Amino acid sequence: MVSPDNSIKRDENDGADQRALAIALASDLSDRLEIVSEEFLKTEKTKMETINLSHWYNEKRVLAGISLPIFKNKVTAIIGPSGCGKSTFLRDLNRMNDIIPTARISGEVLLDGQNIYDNKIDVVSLRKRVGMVFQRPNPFPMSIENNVAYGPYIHGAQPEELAAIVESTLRKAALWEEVRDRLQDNALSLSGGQQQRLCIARALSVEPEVILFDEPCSALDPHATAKIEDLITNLKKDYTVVIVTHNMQQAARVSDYTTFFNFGELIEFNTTRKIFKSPERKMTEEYISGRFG
Amino acid sequence: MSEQQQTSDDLASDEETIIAIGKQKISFQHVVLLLAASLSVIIVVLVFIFTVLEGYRIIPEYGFIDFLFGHEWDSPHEQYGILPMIVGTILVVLIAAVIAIPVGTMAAMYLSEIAPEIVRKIMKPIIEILASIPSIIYGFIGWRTLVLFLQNQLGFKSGRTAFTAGVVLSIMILPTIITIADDSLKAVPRAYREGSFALGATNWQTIRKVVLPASSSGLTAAYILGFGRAIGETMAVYFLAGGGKNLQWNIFRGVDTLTSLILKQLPEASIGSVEYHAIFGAACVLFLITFCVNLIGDLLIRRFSKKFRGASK
Ligand SMILES: Nc1ncnc2c1ncn2[C@@H]1O[C@H](COP(=O)(O)OP(=O)(O)O)[C@@H](O)[C@H]1O
Ligand SMILES: [Mg+2]
Repeated sequence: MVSPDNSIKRDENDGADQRALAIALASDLSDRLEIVSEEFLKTEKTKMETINLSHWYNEKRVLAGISLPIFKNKVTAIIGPSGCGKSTFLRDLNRMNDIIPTARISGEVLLDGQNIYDNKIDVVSLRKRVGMVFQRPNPFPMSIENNVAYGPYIHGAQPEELAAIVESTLRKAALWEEVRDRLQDNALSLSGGQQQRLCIARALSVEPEVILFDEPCSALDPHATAKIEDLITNLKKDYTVVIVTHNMQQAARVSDYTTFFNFGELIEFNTTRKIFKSPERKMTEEYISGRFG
Repeated sequence: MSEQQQTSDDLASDEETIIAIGKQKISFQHVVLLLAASLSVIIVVLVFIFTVLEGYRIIPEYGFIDFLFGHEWDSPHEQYGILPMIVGTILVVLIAAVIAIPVGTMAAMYLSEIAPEIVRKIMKPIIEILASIPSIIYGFIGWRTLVLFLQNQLGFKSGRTAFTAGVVLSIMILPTIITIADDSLKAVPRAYREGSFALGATNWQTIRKVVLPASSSGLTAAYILGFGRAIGETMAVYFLAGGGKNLQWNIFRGVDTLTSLILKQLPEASIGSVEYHAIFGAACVLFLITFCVNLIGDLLIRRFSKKFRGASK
């Protein structure tokens, strides 16, 4: 048995270590890894939490009573077959589904203990605190600089502050060196991977607390994917991260906790290690070993 | 085995006859259809040639500079300068633009970004009907309301002014502007809006800072095609702009435009006279302007529809 302290250290390993872990998994050396007791979960700080969250589009229920903690400064991966409600769940976490007229929810989503669906919650400041990166890179059709400056600008940053914000944000997104000489170029002239890192920079620009990633690498090549994964691993120092992915290796590489969804239900939630080493539910095991989905 | 052979042979020969028949039919239909399709092209070319053939003569007969930049059109004194009409056209179109661009853009923004689906479904066809009202009716209503108002309430000697015509024209070109502007706003991928909302932007910030800039070339096309319609419009202007064949810039005085000049002077000019050629010269200028305006508008629309190809909706 591993003591909680030990495990925390392991969870703060860097990206390379995570990848090594994935390789270990792949080569079926998984029995070398220790099983982590669920007691461990109780030592984490909870940043967000859904309580019995259900979601409907018109009369069709696509999420059924999801209760999930999202731990502070950790990466939580959501895996599951396509159509099982991963994106819907993610978009419920920053109320992006508000713009879909047919969408309706029940249950609660807590951010620092406060229900974000409360009447007195301001959606604008909520989305500033809980940012989002989408499946396809969607930089605005404007200059690289303006893409990053847009968020701070609309939240009232002074014009003379913007240049510094742009630089520091692009650095955080590991893009500064590549674009510093072409900040005025149209963002659409960047490669797909660069565009996605620009979108990450854009999300970081308003200093969020939580960042939601919806399959951020599904449109990217392996090289660009590796860069984004490194970035995500680094981000958890300062942010709480939730990532939807249908790439099992990616979940294993970047996340500390993993939850498996199927048919709109939360089937299992545990540390990533435990989920990939010895899931408790047979369905999880079948999905992870590629037998469906 | 042999039956199969038979069948496929049959098929082959069938195919050949179809192709053969098809070929015959095509060669006949081809001509008919080609003629039908060419008709409009032929007419355009003929109209163009006819106009230019009659119009170019004003250059040797009157002089290019005097014609284009002459300050006065005065038939009895054989003065045929069209600058007053060019200025008149500009005044009327500018007034129409100053009103129609903001109103049209805001209407399109409302329809595209804010209106519930049901409101949009009701309003769009109504706006398109506006475009199909015959221009003489606009002219008549413009006279009944605006012209009489200016005369009776504001004491204008004549309510037929560049301003009057411009105001009514702005209403006439609104459908064009709203429809094309709405289409180009709608063409902006949802992904851009979501990207903006996800940063905590309001709907209004998103429209102003992301959607409008992203659709700028489409919006410009909407304006330009609206101008095209305004420049070519004749009846309402004939009815409402009064007239003035001397160069002046006051929007509250009567003006003639290129179109109203042609409409008024053509019946009076004897065929083959200098005035007749001057009228056709004016038509050439009008032709050139509307052609360029529409070309630019079409190019912008094409560029715009290319812009988001491949971008996720
Ligand atoms: N805007 C919508 N309107 C109606 N149904 C939707 C909408 N978005 C998603 N769905 C449905 O909800 C279910 C879950 O979708 P989604 O959350 O996108 O799944 P995932 O991201 O896991 O692939 C699917 O059956 C999908 O068809
Ligand atoms: Mg999805």
